[in-house]
Amino acid sequence: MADEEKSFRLRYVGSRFDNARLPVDVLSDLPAFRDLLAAFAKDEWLSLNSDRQRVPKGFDKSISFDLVAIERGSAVPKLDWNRHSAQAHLEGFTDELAEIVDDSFERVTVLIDNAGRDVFPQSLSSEHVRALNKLGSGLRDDERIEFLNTCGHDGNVIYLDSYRRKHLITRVRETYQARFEGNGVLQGVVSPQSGSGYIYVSTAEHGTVQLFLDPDRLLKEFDGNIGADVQLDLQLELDNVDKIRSVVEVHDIRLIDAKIGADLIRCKERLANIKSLIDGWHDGNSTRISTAAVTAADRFLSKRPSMCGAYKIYPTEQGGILFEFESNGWDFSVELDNVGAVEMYGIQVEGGRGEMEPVTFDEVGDQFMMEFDSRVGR
Amino acid sequence: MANELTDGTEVLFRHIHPNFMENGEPSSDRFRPSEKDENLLSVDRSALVSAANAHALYVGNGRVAVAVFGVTVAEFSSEDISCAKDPTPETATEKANPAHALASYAKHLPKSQKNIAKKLKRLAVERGQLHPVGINT
Repeated sequence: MADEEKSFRLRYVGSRFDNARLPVDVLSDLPAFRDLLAAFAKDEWLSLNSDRQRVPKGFDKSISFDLVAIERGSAVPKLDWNRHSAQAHLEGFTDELAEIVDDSFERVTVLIDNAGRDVFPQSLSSEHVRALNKLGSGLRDDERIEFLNTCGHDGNVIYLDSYRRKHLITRVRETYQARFEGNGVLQGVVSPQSGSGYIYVSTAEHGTVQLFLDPDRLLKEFDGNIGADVQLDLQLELDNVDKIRSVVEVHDIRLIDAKIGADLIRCKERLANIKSLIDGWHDGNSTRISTAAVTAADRFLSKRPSMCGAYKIYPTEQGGILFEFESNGWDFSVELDNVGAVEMYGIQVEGGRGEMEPVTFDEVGDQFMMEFDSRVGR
Repeated sequence: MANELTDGTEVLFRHIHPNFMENGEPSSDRFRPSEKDENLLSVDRSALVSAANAHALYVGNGRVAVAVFGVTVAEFSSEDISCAKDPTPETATEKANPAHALASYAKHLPKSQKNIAKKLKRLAVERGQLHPVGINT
């Protein structure tokens, strides 16, 4: 087999991965993929060598991958198994390892394919679960990772999405991890006696969350601000009914100032009114506002709460939501349609007669926010 | 076009449903036709009816509105939108509306109509709410 290349391609599907764009948020999937594959490789090696209790020294390091390209077709990171590293760490085993890596990749994809038809293993080791908890944890509901050159039971390429992750992990364990971006209200600040203190933040989605913080930051930033709005970006451990068990990591937490908080509340109240409209609300010529549009609107509000003071929010007859606002001498519209897609357009109202023709995005995701920020300024 | 409106100063009224108003300002999409309207926007002519009477007829015919805004024939024309008389007859359910007219957006693709609507809305808001006067809805 000499230096034959052994490559694995993961195809990220979703609008934020268009044009070979791979958000840094999901880069942690790559070592997680390696860890999962390595966990299966250990099982495989031990089953082939039943007289051994442990894998040989250097085994883990020999399951090493290099990211050699991000190809087009959404974003397709290409990972090459590093044969030289295997040779260096486990001399003489390279060909056997190559077969084990192949078999382990197949076992990873079979595990995921089976989860798609509600077939689960009786148990998985903590090593497997730890890797699974990282792999795909940044995926949003409409996104997936396809394992190229595989074929599942349904004849299609095997893929991992948030549904499969959640069900797979919670079948072998009580909880799974997922990312939460949203807003909450500061309910309490507990100053540190020693070490770190913590705050309580209530959220509409997950109830009250306890967050440990650096004591300096807690005192300078949060103390004395009970009732203030807070912007959150958290890695959460959730159970199979999405009840929070613990906060794994605080990616970002920021106090929203009182004025912005009040504006955010006004926008949310307006959204709640719009959400309550029933079919035919406009003299019979309209449909109720879709859940996808409301979810997209919530996400849009939480992305840039500092803009809430400028927004005027309207329903559309087709079940969507229209935001209108002025910024930087322009009058903009952000229109969320009834499947959650977003369109932005606008006219210059100061210093010229420019126009932004409507530009459409699949969702309120990174690509849209980049366009939004470039127009509105951040 | 025989029925075309030619007095550029004539204000044409748009009735605004309460759900399309926020803090006294209408949604821009009230200033372009909906999909079902086939590129024709309904308006009422100020040459024939006051804003108050147009509103009274509109709600009297069973529709809901809380405000009247207006755009002139010339303002429509500056966006390459022609306006024409379109009086509607009395039916079993609605009273006649001799002041009814239509603004044609047919020269513009639906996507282009969105920014046109924004421009017309700004002109209408600048002119101010025409009915009820002095009350922000």
